[in-house]
Amino acid sequence: MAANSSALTTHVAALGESRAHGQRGISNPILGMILFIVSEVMFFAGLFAAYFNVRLNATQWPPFVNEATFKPFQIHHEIVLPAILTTILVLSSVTMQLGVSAIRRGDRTGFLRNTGITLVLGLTFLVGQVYDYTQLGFGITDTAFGSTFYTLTGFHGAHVLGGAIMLSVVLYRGMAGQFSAKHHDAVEATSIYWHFVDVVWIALFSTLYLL
Amino acid sequence: MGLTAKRWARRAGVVAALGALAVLLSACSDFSLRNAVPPDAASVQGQASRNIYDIVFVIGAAVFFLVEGLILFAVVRYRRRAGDDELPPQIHGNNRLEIIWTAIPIAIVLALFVLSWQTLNTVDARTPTPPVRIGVVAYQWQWEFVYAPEGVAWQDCGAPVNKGKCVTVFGTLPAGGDRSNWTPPTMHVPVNETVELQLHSTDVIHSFYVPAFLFQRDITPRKDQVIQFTADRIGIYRGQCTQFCGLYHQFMEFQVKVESKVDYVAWLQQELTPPPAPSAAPPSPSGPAGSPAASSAP
Amino acid sequence: MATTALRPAATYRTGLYEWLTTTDHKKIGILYTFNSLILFLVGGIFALAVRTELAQPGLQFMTEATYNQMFTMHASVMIFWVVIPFLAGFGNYLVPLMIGAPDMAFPRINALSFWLLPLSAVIALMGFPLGGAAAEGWTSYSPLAQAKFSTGPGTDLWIVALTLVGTSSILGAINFLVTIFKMRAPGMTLFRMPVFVWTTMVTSVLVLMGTPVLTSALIMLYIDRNLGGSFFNTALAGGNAILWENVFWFYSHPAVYIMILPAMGIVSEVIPTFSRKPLFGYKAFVFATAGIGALGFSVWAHHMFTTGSVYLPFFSLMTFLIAVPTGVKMFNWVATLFRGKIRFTTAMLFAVGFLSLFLIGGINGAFLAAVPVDYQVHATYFIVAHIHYVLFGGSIMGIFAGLYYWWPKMFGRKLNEGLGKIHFVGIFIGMNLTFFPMHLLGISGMPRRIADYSATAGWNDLNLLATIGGFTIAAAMLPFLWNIFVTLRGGEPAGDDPWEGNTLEWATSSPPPPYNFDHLPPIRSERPVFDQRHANDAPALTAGH
Repeated sequence: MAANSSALTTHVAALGESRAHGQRGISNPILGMILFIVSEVMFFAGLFAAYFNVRLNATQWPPFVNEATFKPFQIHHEIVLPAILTTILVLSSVTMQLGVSAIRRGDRTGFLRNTGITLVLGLTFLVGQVYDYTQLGFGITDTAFGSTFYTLTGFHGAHVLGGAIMLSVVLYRGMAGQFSAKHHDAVEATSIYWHFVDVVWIALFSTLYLL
Repeated sequence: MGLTAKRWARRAGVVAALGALAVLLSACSDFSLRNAVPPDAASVQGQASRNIYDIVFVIGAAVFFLVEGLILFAVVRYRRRAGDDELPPQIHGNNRLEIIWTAIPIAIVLALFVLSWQTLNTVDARTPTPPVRIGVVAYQWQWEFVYAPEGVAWQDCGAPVNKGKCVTVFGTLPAGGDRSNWTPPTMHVPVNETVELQLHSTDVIHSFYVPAFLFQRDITPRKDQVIQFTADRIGIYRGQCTQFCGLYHQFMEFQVKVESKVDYVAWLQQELTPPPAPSAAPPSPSGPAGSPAASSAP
Repeated sequence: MATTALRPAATYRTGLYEWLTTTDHKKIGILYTFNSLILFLVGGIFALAVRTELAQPGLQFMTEATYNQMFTMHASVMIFWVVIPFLAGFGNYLVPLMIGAPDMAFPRINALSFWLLPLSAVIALMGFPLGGAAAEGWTSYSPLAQAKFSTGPGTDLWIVALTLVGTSSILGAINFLVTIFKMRAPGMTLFRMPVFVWTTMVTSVLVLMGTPVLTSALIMLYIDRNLGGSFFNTALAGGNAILWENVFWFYSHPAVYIMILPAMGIVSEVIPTFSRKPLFGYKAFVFATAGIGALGFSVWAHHMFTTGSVYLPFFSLMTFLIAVPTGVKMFNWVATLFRGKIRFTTAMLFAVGFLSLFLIGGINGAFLAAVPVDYQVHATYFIVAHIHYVLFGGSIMGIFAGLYYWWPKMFGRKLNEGLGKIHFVGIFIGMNLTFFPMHLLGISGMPRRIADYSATAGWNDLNLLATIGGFTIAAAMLPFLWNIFVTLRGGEPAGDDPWEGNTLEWATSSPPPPYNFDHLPPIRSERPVFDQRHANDAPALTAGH
């Protein structure tokens, strides 16, 4: 090793410099999160493809729960609760962003307060969605519509849960004083993820309930 | 030294391949050079496919010999001689050359695309009034060919009102899995007449494939397919399911017997009188299931 | 940074605990390599089982049920646990070295990506003792893959295992992309990156965009099978079997490029080194790689020409067009050979073998792009021939080239060249004996995935020939395994730069120290180590024309 390095020029650019080089632009964790979200978008694209496939092949929309009784899904009639849940989730994105702005300024109290509110709103959404499931009157086995409905909303819910866990970690680390105006990549990454979850829900709500 | 090994590698490869081939050819051999080209087409559409195949083959062979020739030339001509330690000229590229070898392949593939698309229009062409319509039912793991009279849909052949009007050919699995005394089901079609097949699957995806027609079409449940062909050579041609369909996929063979119009009509009449099999309804998919030994001709 | 603290470990700590807990990209790369090698032998045994049964008409050695598991698991293992991870392993080992980085961007995620692989392989193979592995073919088409037709745990285990492999791939792809975008050494601009890094980058994009779609498909299949869903289950209202084919091939066609692009990258490192010339048309090669990646997402339905459910002209045109960037690469390689000073090391033999065999895989692919020809040979042995000329003649030959080329870097010792040449000759002959007859079987109408065939169909001799070829390949693996064994026990010391390489990995010791580099040479082109070596030569020699 030593023998070889002597053969090289004196252009010393080992560890330190290449790391310093890497610090330009967005940080590694944030770029990693953005790329992860790209993969998540493709995952939901696969599920949405299934939904639109079902919809294009259906003879009528909303489809019948049971082809024998001609009873259609009443999905458009039960829009109030989902609309409230949508509002909650959008609000949580706002509070999330307020928290990020706070920590960028170095305002730790504001950061903790807003992150806490975001977490509570997220959990409220989850509880509300579980309640909604109990009120819908159809299940995952009720035709391809039931399958797509529960798969889409279920995997979105799982992502909200994942986001809530990330928020809890961020909150815990924040209370331990680990974030500052200069050092808060985890907060930024979590916020990007949370906004993504929010955007997916808006897409879901629009296609499932409104369209 | 490296070179010698390379040379030996190639020589040994050629010798071994030729040797193995010679042994096989002399020993028993059901191989003939006939296998090296697709079957002679037995249908009008198949002939069209064969023509485009031949075009692609000629172009492919030309590209093959050109590029393999270049590779072979380069590795022989530009091998490093012992003691030669000089650096060869460091050529990084040549724009004109690179544009040429991008443009020519584009021209070739576009030409092939246009030709194959034109052929496709021949192969997929359909007449609204085919003289012969046959219902083809695929199920695990056999075939059923249903001939309905004019005005009756093949799907309705099971109805009591149509009793005795339809001809149905059933396939069976070979007893004990032994092919030696087994005949796959035979589809009879008249020569030089357009035949329409209505392909239907009752369980999983199958595929209707007749090599001599150079054609196959998947049979997906809930997505019935309609295909047409015009057989133009009398004979018996083998067919087989190509879409893997489960345990006894290998036994989903059938035959297509292309015969003269007279023979075809005679066969149809003979099948109609006396009334054929007990029921023209499709046998339940579980009918021949279990071990092949359990099945027997209806 | 505390560079001094990193200095002492010129040798590896090699304890088992160290290997199990390592986050060093080089050790993880080596773990990938050995894991893939072991599973290559497993998948090879499945292939031999298939070939043995097909040697003669009639069922001699196994039932249809066993046969169907064999060919299904052969393809699954070879694709998901051999070729993809093998190449990802090369990426893990080489990308940080080639761009002058100390490690991957996320070392712990990197370790997770690896450990998901043996875990998932065990899960998939658990099907055998638990009553039968998956047996629907690696494409697992519904409704055959539905619970009604595929009972037993094998298929569910297969779904879970593939989901884990997918997760491993996605995490790996994120890691590669962040590493490549963020961790390049000063001077290492994008257009000075080694071609292998480029191919890994494009591959990572394909993984990132494609694999999640496979994951969604697998989850839908799992819901169909276990929770009564009706995505692909045609027995229920709204179930659509074609939907599975679409989402499955949306991933699985790009997967072919995931499996071939890094192998092209390997060959593009080996050929210039042993021709002592730069890669001809570096930028064209990079653009061709990106072009293949982009076109790769618009050709998936060419696997579905015979379904009667896709728009044929579009997918046919796109499939034809993808031959163009592939052709550009072929000409680039051949032009690199021209006027070079070619040394026939084993690595170079495998690289030239890649050229001559992958060419066939490209040409017979063009047959399949022509829809009427595809109608004829789809799902026959012609397809089997095609995919093996691509994945064996292409990917596996590339992988072997890479193993012989970078083994000295990984372990400090060169693999024995004599044994290596025997290995190459055996593989080259066996490969052609096995797979060339399959073209003929295909055009004479032999469907793939059949356990047995009629003795009167005219396929007996060609099948026997292919089986002889299969055992030739197996025999050729023995000198290779022996070679690994003797080399690990004491092969010829390699030195830092045994081949006169071009790229940065040859500027450090063999094996490299933890965190890779003490000093980097200046990076002024895509061949920094070459520039270093010839810094004092007359300018006329190194300048381009």
